[in-house]
Amino acid sequence: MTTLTTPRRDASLWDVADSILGALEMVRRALFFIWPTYIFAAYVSCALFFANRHVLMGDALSRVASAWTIAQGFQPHLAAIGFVWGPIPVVPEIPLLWFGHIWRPLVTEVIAGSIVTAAFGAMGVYMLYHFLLERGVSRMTSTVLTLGFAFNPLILIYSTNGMSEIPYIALLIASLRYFSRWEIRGRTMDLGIAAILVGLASWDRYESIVATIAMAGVVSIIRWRATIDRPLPARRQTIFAHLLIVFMPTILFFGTFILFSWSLTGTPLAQFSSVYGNSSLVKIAGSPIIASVQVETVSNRLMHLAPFLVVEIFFLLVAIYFRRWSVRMGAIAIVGLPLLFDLYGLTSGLQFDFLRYLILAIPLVVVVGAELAVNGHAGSFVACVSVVVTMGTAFWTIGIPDMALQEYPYHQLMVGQEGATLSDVQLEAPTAVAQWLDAQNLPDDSILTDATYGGRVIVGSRYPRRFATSPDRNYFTIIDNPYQHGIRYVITVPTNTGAIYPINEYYPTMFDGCVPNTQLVFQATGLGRPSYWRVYKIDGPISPSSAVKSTHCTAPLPPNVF
Amino acid sequence: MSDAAALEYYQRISERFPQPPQDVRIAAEEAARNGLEGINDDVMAKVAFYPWQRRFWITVVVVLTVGFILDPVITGSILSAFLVVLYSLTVYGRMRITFTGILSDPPKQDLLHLVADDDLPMYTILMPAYDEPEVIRNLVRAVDEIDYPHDRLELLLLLEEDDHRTLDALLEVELPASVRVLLVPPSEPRTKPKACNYGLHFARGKYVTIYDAEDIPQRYQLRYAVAMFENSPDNVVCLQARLDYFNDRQNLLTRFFSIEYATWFGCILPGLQALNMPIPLGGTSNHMRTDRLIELGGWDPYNVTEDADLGLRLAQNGYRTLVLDSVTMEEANSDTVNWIRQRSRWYKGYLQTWLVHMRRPRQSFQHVGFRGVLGMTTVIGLTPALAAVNLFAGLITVFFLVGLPSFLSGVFPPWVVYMGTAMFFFGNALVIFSSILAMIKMRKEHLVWACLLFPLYWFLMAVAATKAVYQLIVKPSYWEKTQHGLTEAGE
Repeated sequence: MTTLTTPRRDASLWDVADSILGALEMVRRALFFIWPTYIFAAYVSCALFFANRHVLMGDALSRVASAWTIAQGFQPHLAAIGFVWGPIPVVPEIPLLWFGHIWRPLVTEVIAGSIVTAAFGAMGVYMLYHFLLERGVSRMTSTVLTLGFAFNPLILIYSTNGMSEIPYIALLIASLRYFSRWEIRGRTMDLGIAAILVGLASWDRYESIVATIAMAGVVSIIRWRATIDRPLPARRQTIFAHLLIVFMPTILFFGTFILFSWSLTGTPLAQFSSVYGNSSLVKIAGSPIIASVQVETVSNRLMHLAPFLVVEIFFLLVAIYFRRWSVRMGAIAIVGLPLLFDLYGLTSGLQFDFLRYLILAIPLVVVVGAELAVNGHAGSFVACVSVVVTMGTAFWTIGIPDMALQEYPYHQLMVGQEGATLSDVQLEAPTAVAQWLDAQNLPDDSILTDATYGGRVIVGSRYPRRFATSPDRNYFTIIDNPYQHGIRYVITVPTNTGAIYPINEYYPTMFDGCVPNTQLVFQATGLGRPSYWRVYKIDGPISPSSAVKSTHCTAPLPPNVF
Repeated sequence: MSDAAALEYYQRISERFPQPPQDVRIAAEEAARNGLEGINDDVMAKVAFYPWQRRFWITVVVVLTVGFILDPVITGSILSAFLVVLYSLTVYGRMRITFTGILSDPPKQDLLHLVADDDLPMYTILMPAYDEPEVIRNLVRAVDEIDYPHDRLELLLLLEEDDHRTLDALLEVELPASVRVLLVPPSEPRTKPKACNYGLHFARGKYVTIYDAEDIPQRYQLRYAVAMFENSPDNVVCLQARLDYFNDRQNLLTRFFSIEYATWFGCILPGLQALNMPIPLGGTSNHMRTDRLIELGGWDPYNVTEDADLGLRLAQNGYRTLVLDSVTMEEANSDTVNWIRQRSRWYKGYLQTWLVHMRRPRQSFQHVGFRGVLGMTTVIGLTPALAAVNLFAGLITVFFLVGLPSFLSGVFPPWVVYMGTAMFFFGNALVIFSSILAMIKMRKEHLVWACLLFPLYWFLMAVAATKAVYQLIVKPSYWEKTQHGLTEAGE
């Protein structure tokens, strides 16, 4: 009798190897088609390069410190998200930081933040490419414009450093893509997705509200024109309905942000009103940040960063006027108006004088380029040249320290110089503080610090939960009576660092050792700002009123600090 | 009225409107009540809970009660966690279905011309009515307005034998030739599905549909249904037309009701169709192949939402329902108390239907697949269940927001609080957002502002659902006595 079944073979090691290889092959094939993965990989590689040379930005570090605190507890402690900033760059970092003990650079070199921005960057690049294709730009031109955007030095830097710029731009571009689909196909669902994406961006940067307003304006005009044959009440109703679609997500996201901020930290709009808020920071004397930049300065900077933007706009206006090109202004308005708002913010002192507030100029070059490129070869040529030239001008601009205070160290690394010493953020001293504190075996919430500088210590610590940091709900009650709230150590920095540090506001003489019941137990110095760190042990109750200059001062300010 | 008087009245009516012989009538009546039993006795809702279901729910209640006595905090946490997860999944499922529906393109109406006049088959319209003398006016108008060859149209007016008001009115008018009056012998249960079953027994059409007395179907609906049937695979045995309200601007309630119907028929049903999930039928304007319907045993006379039940039974038997892109206009319930009564009946029917179709879960999984059971549970079973939970959940969230978090954080684990709060804001907002999208798709932009007030409607739903759940538990057979299927169908 013959048997129809194949003879059974015992599973050997080879079978296991075979199936692993098979799985890898499948992954490889999948990756081949998911090209944004390569963009992601490129960004992460650059991030590792920068991290390896210790160049990083303070805000990104504070965000990682917040996420690190949340990730290390069984009970999520959401106040630590830090409502000074929106939750977007912080929340996706939390799961990555569950591995922060296994691979320390995730925390100490802000690589968790880098991975998040790299992912957003890759998403933005993917969305941009499809926006261009769907808009009708040829495949070739789309590829050039997309790569020109993806590897523009400024975009590259911010895709690797954990800041909020790239999530903002990526969400804006994604929103743009769906908005443009709505313009082309007329499906309200696409408009809904666009509105949700731009609303989500308000969890990253509040300026995205300007993009929502721009979108609402464009939608009103489009619907008004499209319903020309309908009676007036019907036209009003359709515009009202579409405006609801546009505004609802932004109102919801921004509203919940305010509500949660309020319920978790006690301040509805920490971004504006807290001691870390922009208005407070801009007011600080001795700050390297100069409020209220001149219009000439800002336009000069913009002309350095993206001079061909003007060329493109000129070309577009001429073509519209003389050649009757049909141009969709929607996409341009959605990126352009927020940029105009940033320019206004810079000149009116709402925002700091940082180059990164002009970063929207780069996607705007591509978006204006798209409108040129859909109208023929000449347009495509101008668009491609503009985008490629912008790569060069952006690189040139970040090489000028006066213009690009924060980006200059990255430029130095890119040209083969050592950039780390130029960076504001230096971690040797705070890491030494963290290591010393880790060794003290303290209970949770026993070390007083705050989000401005505390983050630098917290990322260096293996026990982030031991730090009481703003913006906890009861932070300011703790700072009033630290000893009664279980605080045993206070981290202090000199008072003239150029940023607000609440401990210095409450105990201006603490650093100098003039507060009774405190005792200097550790100090560290290093490069960067602040360069001098002290840890005081609290032996008994202290309060702001006890912090007077007196003969109790045990440690006068050494002459080498500032 | 005495028996003799009733007999005399019947004879007078049947002289004017000839009825089938008495033995045929009795057989038809018997079949209308119990016909389904002979084919498949498991699918009837004579009892709400199957024995194992009864045991299961009693166990759940006992375990929860004991739990609350022993440790209210832990039991409350587990229960709330379970509900939050269930709620989130349901909102996700409903949104998935709705958005699929919003994105689906309506089928083209140009099929209309595919069937020539000569090839149109016999079509039966069932029109059940009870205590509605005004039906007569509509009836004459309806027959006039339907664009279908009158020699191939059969309209069966189904009246209860003792419905004297309607019958008296009927005696005074001249009926069109295609109308046939059928008197349903009086017996329990007095429901719309039983009347329809009785009518189905005498239907001669290849296709059959149901209209309520006051319905205004689109003129070409029958032709379109024929064309769509002829161009669909054999397993498509039912087409559901879209229902809409003509009095949507009457008051806030009719606006809400219209928003709900537009979303249901315009987005959720097409979404279910696109996702290949069972489609619960709406009350009227469902067109069916007569032979298949008879084969399946018709409607369940004991189920108060016999339409939804039939839709699921079709799916269980491997048949498909498609959405017919044609509208039937109805009148929306404009009175709140009346609305709650009607809605609680629907919700009770939904629960009953779901229980019936989950009597043999394994079989259901085999017949409609995992996805089908999921759709069935999300749309039919969980709609009333979670509407009832909504009242409770909303209250808790409000408590939480007005500053009792310290009390509640003892009861709920933090992730439940966060998830619940997120659901409260984003889940609810997403539902409102989707209904605004649906209104734009359905060209009902004048209802958009009412979408923003929709939480008020949820409150009414929650009240109705609570009433329905209460009745299902306390008096599972209550509706059989109070249900005036025919009047309520016309509400």
